[in-house]
Parts: sequence; C-alpha cells; structure tokens
Amino acid sequence: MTERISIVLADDSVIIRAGVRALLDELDEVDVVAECSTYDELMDAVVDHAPALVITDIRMPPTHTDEGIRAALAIRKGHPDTGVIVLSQFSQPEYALLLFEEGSQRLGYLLKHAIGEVERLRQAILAVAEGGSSVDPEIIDLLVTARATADGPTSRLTPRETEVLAAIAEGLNNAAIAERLVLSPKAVSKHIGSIFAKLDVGGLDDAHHRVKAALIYLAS
Amino acid sequence: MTVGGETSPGPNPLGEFIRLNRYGTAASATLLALVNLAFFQEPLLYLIPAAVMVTFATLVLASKLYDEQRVPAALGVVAFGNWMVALVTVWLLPWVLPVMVLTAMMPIVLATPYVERARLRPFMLGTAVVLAAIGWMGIERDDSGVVEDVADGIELGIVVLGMIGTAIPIGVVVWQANRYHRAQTGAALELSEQLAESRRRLVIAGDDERARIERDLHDGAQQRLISVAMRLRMMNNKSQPSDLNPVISEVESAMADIRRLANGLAPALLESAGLQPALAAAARDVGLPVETHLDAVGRLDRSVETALYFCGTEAMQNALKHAGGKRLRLDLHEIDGQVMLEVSDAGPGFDPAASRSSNGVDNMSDRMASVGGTLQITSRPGEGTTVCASAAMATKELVR
Repeated sequence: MTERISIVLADDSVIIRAGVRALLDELDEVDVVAECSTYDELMDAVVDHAPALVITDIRMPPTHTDEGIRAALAIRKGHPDTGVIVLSQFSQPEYALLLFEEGSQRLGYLLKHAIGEVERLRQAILAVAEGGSSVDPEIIDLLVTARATADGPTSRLTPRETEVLAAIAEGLNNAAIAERLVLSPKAVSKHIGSIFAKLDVGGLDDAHHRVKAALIYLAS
Repeated sequence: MTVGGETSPGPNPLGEFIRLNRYGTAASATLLALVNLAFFQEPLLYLIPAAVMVTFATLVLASKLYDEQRVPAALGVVAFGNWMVALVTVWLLPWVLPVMVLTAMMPIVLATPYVERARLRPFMLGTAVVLAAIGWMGIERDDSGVVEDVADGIELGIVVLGMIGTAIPIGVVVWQANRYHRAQTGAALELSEQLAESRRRLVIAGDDERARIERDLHDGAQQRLISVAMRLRMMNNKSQPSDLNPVISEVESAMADIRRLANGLAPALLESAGLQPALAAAARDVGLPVETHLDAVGRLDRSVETALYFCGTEAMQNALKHAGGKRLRLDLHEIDGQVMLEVSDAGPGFDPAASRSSNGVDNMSDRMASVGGTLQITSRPGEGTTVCASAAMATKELVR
C-alpha cells in the first residue's frame, strides 16, 4: 500500500470536528495527524507536521471571520507542498474566489454538510493532494442554474459546453471530464477551445487559473 | 446629561421689554407735561402726555396679552399706542417729526423677530400709513405747530433728546432679539448634532446585536444541523437502497432557512470580503437576473459597508416587489472620493411627491444619514425608479 495522506484538521466546533474525523476515519488513504481549533494552532501544526493536506473551517478564533481562507493563502506561500481544503457552510462562490485569488492548485472548497458523502470527500482529498483542485459540485449547480436564468435562451454556450465549463469550475482535469461526460479526451479539448473562443474569459487555457476563470464567468 | 441645559436661550426678551417700557412711558408722560409747563404753557400740548398715558394703558394691556401667549395681539396693541402718539404729536408739533418717525417704526421693529410673516402684513401697512400721514403733516403744517416760535436751541435739544430716548429702546430690543435668536440657533444646532450622534450609536448598537445573534446561530443551531446532515449522509452511504433522502433534504432546507436568516442579520461575506463580493452574492440571491456593474472599491469603514449593503438589498427587494424586477440593475462605483451605490429598474415608477415614504425607504435614509451619507430616490410614473446611496470613502473608523 502507498503512503497515507497526512492530514491536519482545524475547526473550532467540537461537534463538527468529531463529525469530520469520523468521516476521515472511514477512508483508508488518509491519516489525521493533528486536530486544532484556532488559526494559530493550525499554523503551528502545519510547521510541526508538514502535512500533505489541511482540512479547515473558515470562521475560527481569534476573529471568527475568514481565518480559514487566510490560513490557506499563508500555507500556499510558506508550505507549497501542503494542500488545503476549506470546509464552508457558505454556498456563495465569492469565498472560493477569495481562496483561488492566486491560483487554484492544491486548493479545494467543499460544503460542510455535503462531505457526508464519503466518496465526494475522498475524490476531493485525492485531487487536492495530487496538486489539482476541487470545488463542491453543489456550488457549481447553483451557479449554472442562476446563470441559465440570467441568460435565458440567449446563452452563448451549447448545453454540452456548459457541462464542460461546470466540470472545469469543479476542478476536474481533462481526463476526469472525459470520463464523467463519456467523451474522448480530444473532444474535451475541442469543447474547451470553443468555450474559450466564445467567452471573453481570460485564463481558461491556464491549468492553474482555469478553475477561477470558470467560476468568475459562472458567478458574474 | 440635560439636553439644552447650558444653551437654553432663556426667557423671551420681548415680554421683558413690554414690562419695562410701561415705566418708560409713565416717566416720559410726566417729563413731557413738565416740559410744557416750563417752556410753552400751551394747554393743547397736554394732549401729548395724555396720548403717552394712553400708550401706558396699552402697554399694561399688552403685558397681559403677552402673558397669555397672545404675542401678535400684544404687539398690535403696542402699535396702536405708538402710532397714536406719533400722529397726535406731529399734528401739534411738526418739528418733532424725526423723533416720531422712530416712534412710528418701533412696533414693526418689535414685531419682526417674533411674528410670522403673514401676520406681519398689518404692521407693515400700519407703519406705511402712519409714516405717510406724519410725513404729509410735516410738509403741510406750519413748522411751529400750535405753539408760537420756539427758540432753535430748545427745538434742537428736544429733537435730539427725543431721538436718543426713542432709539435706545429700539436698539436694546434689536440687540436682545439677536442674542435670543443666536442662542436658539446654537441650541438647535447642538440638539441636531446630538441627534445625529445618537442615531449613529443606535445603528451601531443594532448592528452589534445582530452580529451577536448571527454568531450564536452560527456556533449553535447551524453547527448542530450541519453535523446532523453530515452524519445522515454518512449513514446514507451505508444503507442501500436509501430511505434517508427525504430526511436529508428536510434537514438541508432547515439549514438553508437558518443560513438565510443569519445572512440577513449580518452577512458573513460582507464582514470577511467587503462590499463588492457581498453585493454580487446578494444580487444572485434575488432570484431574478440582475445586471451588475460592481467596481472593486476595496474595504471601507464597517458602518459604511453595512449601510450601503443594506440599502442595496432593500432597494433590490423593493424593485422586486413594485417593479417585478424588470430590468433590475446594480451599480457600485467610486467617484471623487464618494462610494456610490445605485439600484435601478424599468418598472412602472411612481410620483415621489404624491407618495408617502415607506418604512423601507426611511430605514435606508436613516442608515445612510448615520454614516454621514445621502440617499436619493428618482422616479416618475412610467419611467422606472433609481435609488442612489452614497457616502464618503475616506471614513475609516468614523465611529467608535
């Protein structure tokens, strides 16, 4: 068996921490090496354990505002090999955009209540630990629906292209998109090219920024 | 603290003047009788001190009317007395005209600071008529009047003393009225500053309280529900086929309700990310397409962000309610150090002059006023509605 993914878990709510811990214990691939409940504890634990992955709440002491996002950005700078999954109870994509401010590799944004689906959590952990990214599909669904209402029948994208764009926003790589939509990798590339041609969205072709670019388009 | 305690304008000086002037008239009636006795010995001239004594009587009456708060009536009575003295005196002694011009004008000088505009008209008319009359008498009547030629020195002495004696009370009245009104204006200014300050404190206290409740919801009910949802989904993974799905969606809609409630109390996104992302999210939550043009205005003072955010959501809700959300548009710009939020729709519009402002509009303008900003609503029937809220950007730490 390959080496387990070491995880530091941070949330100031004991019941949520226990819940996430129970979920992580179900997964064979991971190993929780530390639990913390504040920003400072989390940053110390990252230094002490150099984990492969951090799973963190957003609002924690001291200010109870955006500690999780700030921690993710600091870890990205100081410990580039450590991935961060932010657990949130907010389905607004603006938080994810704050998180992906400087690129989306090794970052993930999941909704707390939805990670009970262990498979979703496992895929996000694997994607982020391997250097990719992951955005909760529930958020993408909401955005795609809102976008469809706003555009009405004048949407510039075909339904297939919208599916591909949503998959990009979720953080899937081309191989995963091909697998999910039952397409050839070549067809996926073609769709991405045509989305890129139709939308005035910069950065769709840049692997590090395309998640953010897709999110911005869907959220605007 | 007592409001206005130190800056009270004190008693109205008009009443004091009327009271004091009673003694003044009584004294001058006596003096005038003595002057006649000493210089002229003309029986007709005793009409002047007699007229002044009538004025004394009108002042007694005016004082009573003043105490009954009937200020215009009191001043009317004073005017009657003064004008009578002026007419009688100029008829008898035309050369006292300069003194009597002052006497005839005294009522309107007294009335102007204390009587409202519409009720000043009779005073203006009376003054004009009396001035015209005494002016005409001064021209038409033989210069010396009812007495034989008086020595120039005595004439001059009487006129100069008379003018000084009449001008002093007029000057005192004007000076007192000026002081009184300045004190009143100062007190009103201070009161309005205190009012603005207390409004600011109320808004902040309200926001703090809302933030506290939001935090309680977040730390309590929300965490518990999330944990329940998490566990239910976890159990759902194991039991197949699942009959937990309806329960899960029930719990998740309860979570969504609480999330909406918490967001309405104190939007977490506003606190952590600022105005532009929070408004973008709010526009998406309206449920209808909203055209957004939101500049990244950066972080502003918390109270300014909150005020503008609530104006934005309130105005969008109003547009949804009254305009059916037709062509709803949200703008956020920075212009000349002012941050400006505009919500416009292409709905039916309304006539702002004909409609009373609603609770929502009052809330919006109160909120903007509490941060020293403004709220402007432009609308016309058939031409949609635009709500524009603006506040100064450089207001970091405006409060506290």
